[in-house]
Amino acid sequence: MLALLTLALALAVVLIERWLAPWARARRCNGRRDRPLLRRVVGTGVPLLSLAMIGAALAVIVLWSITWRWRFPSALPDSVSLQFWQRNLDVILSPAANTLLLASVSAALALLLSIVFLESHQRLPGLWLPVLYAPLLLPQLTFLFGVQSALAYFRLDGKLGAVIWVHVVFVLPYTLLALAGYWQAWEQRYTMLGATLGKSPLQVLIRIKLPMMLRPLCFAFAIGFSVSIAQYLSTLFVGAGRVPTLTTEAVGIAAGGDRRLVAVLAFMQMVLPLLVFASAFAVPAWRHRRRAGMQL
Amino acid sequence: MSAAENEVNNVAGLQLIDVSLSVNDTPLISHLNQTIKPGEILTLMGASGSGKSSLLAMIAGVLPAAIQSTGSVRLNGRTLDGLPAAERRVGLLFQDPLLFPHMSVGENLAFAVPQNIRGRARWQSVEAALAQADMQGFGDRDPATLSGGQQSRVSLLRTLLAQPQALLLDEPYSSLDQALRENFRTYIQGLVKSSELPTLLVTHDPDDAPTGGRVLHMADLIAGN
Repeated sequence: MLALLTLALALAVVLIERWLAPWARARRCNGRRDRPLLRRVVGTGVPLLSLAMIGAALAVIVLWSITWRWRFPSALPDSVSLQFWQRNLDVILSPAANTLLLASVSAALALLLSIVFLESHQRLPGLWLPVLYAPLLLPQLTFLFGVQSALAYFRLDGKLGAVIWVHVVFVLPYTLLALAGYWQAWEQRYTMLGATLGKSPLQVLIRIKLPMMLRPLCFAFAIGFSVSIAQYLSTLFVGAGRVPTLTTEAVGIAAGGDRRLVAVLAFMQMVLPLLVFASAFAVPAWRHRRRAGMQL
Repeated sequence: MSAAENEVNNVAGLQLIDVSLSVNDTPLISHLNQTIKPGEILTLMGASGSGKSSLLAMIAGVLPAAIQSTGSVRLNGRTLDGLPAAERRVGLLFQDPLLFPHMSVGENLAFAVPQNIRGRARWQSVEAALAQADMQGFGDRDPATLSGGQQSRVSLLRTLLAQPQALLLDEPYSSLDQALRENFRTYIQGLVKSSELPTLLVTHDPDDAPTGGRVLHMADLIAGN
């Protein structure tokens, strides 16, 4: 059923593309001038709207996490307090630490693997792509069941290392995709220059290419970090329930009941990627603040 | 190649022995034999896309895998064939200055100073190079804030600080405007003479060739010279 639905969707995309392409091609050179109003309304309005929705969600989460008492007809909580945070610190701290560890280690590993992969292949070879993207394309439940059976056979399920590994499996396609374009657009003459100036390929990579790629690398890390944080089924399956993260706890508790506890977990789950994305902006900007050639 | 040619010789300068380049069996250059003496600039003329840059890449050891090459390159009697680019000691200068944008001007230059020069001596050689080009005090500058002419000069200084034994110039003047171009040409020509570097210049502008220097045309190299 799902496969049929996916197939139908793919067909629809192809048909719409067929239908839109001639129109777009004609429009490109009809000589008519730009209509900036429409572009501005759509181009600014839609992102603003979605940003506002995320902001509102965050506000509600924060509100719930500090609510002490909130009776039915009141528009706002009757009393707020940070007590709930303090009281549940032990409930939050261990999953938060696990989440942070899993996300940073798996994102860093995926980044490293992506760099090694991109450096050893001029372009993404066709044979590799299906293997790399299989975890994303296959239905998670069946794929993870197989992964877990294999790990359980070797008694590796429930181990932190195994969870990191399965996170890398899901994070790697994203970091690779985030970096592939930048690697293909790389000015090869910088590499040639580095070599003729007497530096080994590794020195050229570390001292020229990676520093110049700092911004995409930071963003790929942030994307990988967020993907890892969002992992639910894989963490639960491979961790055999023994590696609690903010995500697995939030989902578990959401079914059960206390909205304040869910809000606290959801807040952490939302804020961590936000902080990492903010750093992905800030770190390259600060590092290259005196280099006009490295600005966006 | 005969046995005699295979031996290491003591010819000073840059020697191209029976060099051929091709892309997918389409020849770019066939059987090129040339010796560039120390301090000489040999000019290679041809339209863009005719394989001039590939010849330079082959000599420097940075030829893309898509281009096949045969023949031998020797520098002051030393065979370069099979050596990694980092060990060839061949300086390459492109049309664009290509200063590393994340480094200061001084760091760009220090990057090129050979590793056996250590500590203070590295920065002293950088300072000396800047002074020699009338650019004292530019070490801390952001390369993006330099003028086009200054960037080209820093690029040349960087190439020379690596202590090359030969120089390959890939249209080094074409990103400069007319007045600067004249200036930079004279500068390079003087430098090649004084440093005694065998130099291969690739260009499409007949004005770039030094007066009285030898000039080859790409069109003649396909059929054989």
